[in-house]
Amino acid sequence: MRVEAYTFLATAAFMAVIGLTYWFTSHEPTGTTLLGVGTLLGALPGIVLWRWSRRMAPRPEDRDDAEISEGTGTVGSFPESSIWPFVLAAGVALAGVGLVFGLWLSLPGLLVLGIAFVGATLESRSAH
Amino acid sequence: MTTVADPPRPRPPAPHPQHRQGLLDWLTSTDHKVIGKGYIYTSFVFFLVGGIMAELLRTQLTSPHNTLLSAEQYDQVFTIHGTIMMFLFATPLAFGLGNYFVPLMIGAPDMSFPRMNALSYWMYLFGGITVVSGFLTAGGAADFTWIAYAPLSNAVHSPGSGADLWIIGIGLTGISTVLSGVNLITTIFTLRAPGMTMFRMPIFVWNMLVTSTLAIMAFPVFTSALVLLFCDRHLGTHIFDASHGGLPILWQNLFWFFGHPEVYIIVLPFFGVATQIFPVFSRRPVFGYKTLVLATLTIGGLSVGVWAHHFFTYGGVLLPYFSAMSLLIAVPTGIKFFNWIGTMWGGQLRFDTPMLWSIGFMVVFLLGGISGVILAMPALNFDVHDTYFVVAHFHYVLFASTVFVGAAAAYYWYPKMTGRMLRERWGKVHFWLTMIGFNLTFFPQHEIGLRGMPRRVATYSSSLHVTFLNRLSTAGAYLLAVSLLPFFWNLWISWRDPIPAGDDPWDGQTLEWATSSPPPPHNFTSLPPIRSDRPLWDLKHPPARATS
Repeated sequence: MRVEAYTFLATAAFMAVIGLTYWFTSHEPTGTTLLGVGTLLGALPGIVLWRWSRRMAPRPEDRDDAEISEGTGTVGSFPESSIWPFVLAAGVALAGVGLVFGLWLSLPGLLVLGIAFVGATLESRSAH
Repeated sequence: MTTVADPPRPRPPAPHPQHRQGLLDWLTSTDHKVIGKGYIYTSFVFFLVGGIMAELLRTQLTSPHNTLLSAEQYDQVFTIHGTIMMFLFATPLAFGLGNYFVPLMIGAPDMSFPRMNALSYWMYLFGGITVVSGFLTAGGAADFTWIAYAPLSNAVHSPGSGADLWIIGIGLTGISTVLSGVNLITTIFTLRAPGMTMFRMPIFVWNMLVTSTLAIMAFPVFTSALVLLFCDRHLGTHIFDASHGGLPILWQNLFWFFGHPEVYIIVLPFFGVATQIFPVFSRRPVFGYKTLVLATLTIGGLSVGVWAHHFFTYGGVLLPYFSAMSLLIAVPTGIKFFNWIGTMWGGQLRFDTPMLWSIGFMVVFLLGGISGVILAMPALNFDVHDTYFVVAHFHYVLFASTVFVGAAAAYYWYPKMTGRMLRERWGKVHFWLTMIGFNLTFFPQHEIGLRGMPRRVATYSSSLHVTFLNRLSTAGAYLLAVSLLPFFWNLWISWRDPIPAGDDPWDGQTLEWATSSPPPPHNFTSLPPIRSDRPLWDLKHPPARATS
């Protein structure tokens, strides 16, 4: 987990350096803000990952000498096929296009979106 | 739900038959391979649509005052051509390859969030259809160029719903890319097989990691800018409107803060594919693994700090900063070239089709890189800004990565995805026609630009003396269209008269070749021990293992 953390922390450090350089050479607010927010975007997952890397033992995928058999057991739960991602995307698209053409399209879009939310949530619950 | 155990522990039988077909299966699949193929095929269809538009543009430019397209139509066609190629072809193709091959390369059974993965794909497809459907509206499609500069993109200068559909559609694909990026990063961080440390991951996986990080950094900025633009157009705000105290340059900054990383979101995955191909066809380990990782990270980092080199001529840009940062990118890119050559150096080279395309990519991309260095210098940039020189530059860079390496990936991984080989001979015909057609199309455009022809105009004056060069360019574009025919023929005969590929047709080195072709649901029944960045090679050549 440590290398993962350093990848993001290095991103944050790099963004901070170029952000400060940019501010002190240009005094331009837009780019400085964006680079500042970019620093946070690197720092947030970086710090979370770094804290976890200190609190947990190296996982099999972090160790050079791990055997494949060490990964036995449950890796994760993977959903089988599901129609709801398709319905959800259709709802978002309809609601979005409705912003252009009017409520008559947005409202059905929001309805489809709501159905998809409920459907996907129930599907996740019933699966566990 | 299916609970998946890591190999080699016996798993419960697959929950669904291996060769799933039919519309409902496709609509409901959460398998990363089905979704990956969906991305790749859909992006190829969009590539053909964008390609037809390119042929229209080139045909229009065969003579100085051609009337094939009106100025309005020409504007719509080049806007949607650029939009399709950037957002609906190149980015999704890269994420499609990532979707299909990242889990396979790190020994994972699927992506971390399979349903979110499906959601990303469908949002991309619907977003793409929304953008292109602008052609069906009364005012036609968006015509404010793919960079949608303010104030051209406001409600006064670009009225009509085509422009709004462009904003909504691109917003949808942008959200889809962010979701894909989050999914890939999580997959790479949490689903690697035991022993697959970060510094044993194939370079392609590293490049997808950096690409995904760039995507979650850049796309939200663009999506926010699109929301602001939509508010300006419909809700009476004046964020980009100078006449009411707004700042048009804010759009330029926001757009290119996204737009330049976007270029590397497109390029880096294909660098990664080429880095997978060179070692396999040189029968050597990749040269300078860690420097390649560092170069990728450096390119990714620098790409966030160079956005204003796209509008040097605006006048309010800190030229030394952006020029220096842009020139610096040549260093890590040069390291990559050095390492690719180092990988081939002294190797037992095989010039199979994937290798041929990858070497072609190096040649073409290098020319684009050199014109990039020229453009990074303000003194030269001022002279050729917004001319065909820039068009030539970015086609050399982007066509080299997306089409040359995209084709390399197709010939390299098609056997894995389908279990069938593509014919070498037709692949080579495809390559040489593309190589000649591409250079014939875009090399003259350097000179067209230097003679002063601006980009994005439907007609030009014969006094510029660019008619002959434009005709050469158009002839090249037609040849590029013809170059796809051998590819289609190749696909057709591989379908009609298949040559079985087997699991590992290229003597591969990485884990995707350690499973069947096509891979079963959840990918692996057993995994080789992972002791280097090429575990399959170690398994096949045990003596080499003993020394490491």
